[in-house]
Amino acid sequence: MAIQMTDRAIAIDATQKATAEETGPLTVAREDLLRPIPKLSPRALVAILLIAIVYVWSINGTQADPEQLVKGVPNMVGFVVRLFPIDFDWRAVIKLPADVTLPFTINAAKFTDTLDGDPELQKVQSEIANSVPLDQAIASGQPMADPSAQTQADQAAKAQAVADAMKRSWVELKPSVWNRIWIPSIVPYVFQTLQMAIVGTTLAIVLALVFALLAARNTSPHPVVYQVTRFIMNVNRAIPELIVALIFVAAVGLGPFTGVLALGVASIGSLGRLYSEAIEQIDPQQVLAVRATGASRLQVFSFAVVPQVLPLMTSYSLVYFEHNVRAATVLGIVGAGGVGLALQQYIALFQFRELMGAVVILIIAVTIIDRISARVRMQLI
Amino acid sequence: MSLLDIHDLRLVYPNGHEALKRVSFGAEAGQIVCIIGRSGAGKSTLLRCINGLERATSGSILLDGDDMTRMSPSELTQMRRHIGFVWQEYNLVDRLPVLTNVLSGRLGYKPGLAGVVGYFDRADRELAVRNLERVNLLHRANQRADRLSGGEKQRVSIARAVTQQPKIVLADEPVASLDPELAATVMSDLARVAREDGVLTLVNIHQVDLAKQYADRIVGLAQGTIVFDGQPDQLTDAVMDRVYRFDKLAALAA
Repeated sequence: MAIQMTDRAIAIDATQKATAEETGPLTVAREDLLRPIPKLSPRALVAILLIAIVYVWSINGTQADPEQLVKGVPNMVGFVVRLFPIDFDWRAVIKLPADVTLPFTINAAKFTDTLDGDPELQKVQSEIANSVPLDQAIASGQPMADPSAQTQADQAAKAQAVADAMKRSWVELKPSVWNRIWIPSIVPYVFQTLQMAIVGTTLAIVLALVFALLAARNTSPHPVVYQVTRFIMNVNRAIPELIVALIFVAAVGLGPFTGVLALGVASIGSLGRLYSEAIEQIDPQQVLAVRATGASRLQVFSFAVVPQVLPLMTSYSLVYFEHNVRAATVLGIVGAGGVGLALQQYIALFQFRELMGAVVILIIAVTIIDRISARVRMQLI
Repeated sequence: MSLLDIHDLRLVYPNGHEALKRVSFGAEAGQIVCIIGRSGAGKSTLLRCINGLERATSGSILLDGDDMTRMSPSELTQMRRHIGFVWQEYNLVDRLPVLTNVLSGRLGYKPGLAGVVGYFDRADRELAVRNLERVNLLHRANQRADRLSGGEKQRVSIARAVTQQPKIVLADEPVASLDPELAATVMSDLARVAREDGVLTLVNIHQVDLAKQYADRIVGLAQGTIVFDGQPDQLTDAVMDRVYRFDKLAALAA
């Protein structure tokens, strides 16, 4: 391998020499050097023209209309107003024993008053008897083999059922608001999203490592394998997580497991490519030395390749973990569990104040996760 | 029959350079053979052929009766565990601890998953620890290999090679990157360990004085052919001229 590399290095050296000899010493016109504004070569003009065309084409395509934007500002303000005051959609999770006194006080009257005064809620209250609990509402979504078959009415009905179930805890617990622990109802979903990202990213790491091993020039067993895995990874990179999630919804139905599979499989292409490029940069001599002990291909990989790429791999993996936390948020929209599901319900029911509360919690959660992961990355490199 | 029996070995690189021209020699278990010669004489190529890292164009290399030149890749992997290799640039896996580097000498004996996940049993660890002790580096066992000095790295690499419990150790200019003082200690460690284990050791080396001091036998290579093969005390100035100044001799003759 070392011999081959030296040969290549010599070849490159030779071509460089050849071009230098052909072009000869470059002549520089003194006048050109003194111009305050450089002379544009025909090639530069063509390039500028091309860039201009691309921009005109792109802006046209996006139907950009600043006038419409300006006219729409009042509407925007109207919408933003509907986001406030923020409602964290509190929900009781633990009933405390009667003798426990909380270190803080909850204004129970405020809670109950708002609830009692809400005609919307009274309607919901009357429907509670025949409503479906939240978990069942999620589980009852048919495996989306044919998404188009789902009518809008169905969706609205489902969302309403879920909302009922979410409200139910309020109503049932109303008489004893003060001896329960309350959390924003988005929080369990945030944790589920985090769990999805952890398991999904781990799955992605394992799969990407296998692909990277086959798709790195220096560890691939055969050029054909190299080309095929590269191709698969390119295709994989082009498929958005949402589409991958839809495929798994068809396979395992709705729920966070779908999200885990989607995250794991959707990241193979990009993560595998980063890994394989890290593998291509390792010191071949260390690999050769382990190979010379009679180690098998797999042993060489784990003893000489992995230790060398570990810092880069860890860094990339953490970046992907952060990415997957955000991706998992979106995945809920196709029913793959996590925060997206709750967000979608808020949007469907025009509960914009609750939506805003969820967004605030999300911002906090993502910030904390990003900070922790950045800290870990610093420690490892 | 000798432990190592090389017959008519020839190697032509794809670019047409003939690195080895019909090299033949044999060596017995327990011998320390130093191979001297100028850069490009074919010393490294010879060692790499014996290890199977280069495939010979023709000829045979019999190691304990098995012909290294006619092996499938998987047979070669099986065979390599019997061949320890010590490299000029040490080639330890920098990010792994010293002991793990030494333990990697056992990989060839670990089929299946155990070797891949880095599980080594007590016997393997015993052997690795003992060999690390023999090169006086046990106190470095848990440090990362890239924290070591050049001389220490080379001693770890010797420990790695003997942990393979090899039939033969090949050392490709093991002391070329070290200062003269360190070169002497590393060379003495290599020779001592080799003698204790009674393992055949081939050493490519530029320092003729070290070669004379530690070798049982010296082989001189020039332009891909053996021009000297004998005891260290037979290495006269005339022989040195043949090994190192053949081009000047040719010029004089012309």
